Amino acid sequence: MCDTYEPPGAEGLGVLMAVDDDELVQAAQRGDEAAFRAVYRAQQPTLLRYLTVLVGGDAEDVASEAWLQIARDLPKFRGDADGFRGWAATIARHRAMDHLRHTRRRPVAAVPVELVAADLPDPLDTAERALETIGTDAAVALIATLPRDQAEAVMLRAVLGLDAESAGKVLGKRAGAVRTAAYRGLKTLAQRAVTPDAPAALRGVR
Amino acid sequence: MSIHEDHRPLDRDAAELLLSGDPAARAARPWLGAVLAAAGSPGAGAALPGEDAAVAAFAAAHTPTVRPRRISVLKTTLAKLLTVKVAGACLAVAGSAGGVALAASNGALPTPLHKAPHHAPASASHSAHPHPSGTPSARPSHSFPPADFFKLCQKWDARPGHSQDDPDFGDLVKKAGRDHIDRFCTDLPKPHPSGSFSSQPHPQPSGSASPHGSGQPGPKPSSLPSGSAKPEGR
Repeated sequence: MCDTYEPPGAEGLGVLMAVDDDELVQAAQRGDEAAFRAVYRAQQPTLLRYLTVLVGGDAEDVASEAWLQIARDLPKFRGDADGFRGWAATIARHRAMDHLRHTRRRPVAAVPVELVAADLPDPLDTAERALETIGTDAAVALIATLPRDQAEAVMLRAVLGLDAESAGKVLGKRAGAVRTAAYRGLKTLAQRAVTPDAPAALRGVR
Repeated sequence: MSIHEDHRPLDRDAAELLLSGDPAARAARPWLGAVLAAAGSPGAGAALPGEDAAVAAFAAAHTPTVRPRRISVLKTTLAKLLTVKVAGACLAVAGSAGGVALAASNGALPTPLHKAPHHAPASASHSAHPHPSGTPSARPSHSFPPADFFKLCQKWDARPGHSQDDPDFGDLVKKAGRDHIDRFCTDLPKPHPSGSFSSQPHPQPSGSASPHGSGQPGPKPSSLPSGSAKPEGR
């Protein structure tokens, strides 16, 4: 069964996930270790990015705790692959809140934009070039500079792929509130776009 | 197209399309589109740090209910087995000790009590078909149960004129007394010449069987009645 779910290359997993996300989650629920591994590989990167927005450098640790709970509670989960993403995000968020409570810290302060700017495309680059060069970490760091409710809304929707309703369940908010927060976040991000005539936009915002 | 276009006012509908990954909307807003695409890019699909730990947790969580239970069941079973064994050993020790005590009190020490019943029927069947040969070598030479004397007597009778000093008959002489061999042999019960098992209780008068030395594993008076009654009843 390992052979079924764990092809050697990355593409194999990608294809598998694309072909049958729901079945993979179901297989993992039945205890299929290879299926769980595939689910992990598909889910962990975006979950980690979401957690980075919440707890910064502690994201890996919190993600580990979250996966322990996911692994343990997976048999109890009811739903499809979309539902699983929301469920996993909810668990991750709870673990992040616990972590912040225990460390008596407030959610990560918005990352200073200067730190992000270094990773962003050269101001002279065209949009096409920007698309090629902007890195995932820089993009996440940029989103993390948003107020937390906006950052979370953008991450859950654009990165974890949840719709407004699902994201609302994760956040304990109504779908409309999530839409508004995400909208405001995108507007802010748009203003921070690195442009030749507006380089100060990056440095000026804290 | 340039990233300058991102500075156009963003409406809610466009924001929704950007968030849901609509290609056209992201192309229309290159900067926002690039940021969102990069942030939401799928993982490489390769092994990730923490993956093995997560899988181990998964494995532990899914074999879990089974494994600890199995171990505890094993432990319990082992404990029970040990208890039973110890108890059994104690019983065995107590039992054998009791048996020894009982045997000793019955004066039947050399022969285990529980063996007599097995020998009695066996001797009965054997006695019906005498096996005159082959027995002497089967038991210690110093032991002379009645059957051996019977053979000696046969030998004695078969060789008229032989001497009592013949070492072959030394034991017979000792047993019967010098010059009394003929009489001893005449009195020796003939119907049970089997002698294949020297210690069997033969259905013969205990008086003639018991005379020889003490400590022999010979027939016990106490075992004779039952030993003789059963075989003959058949």
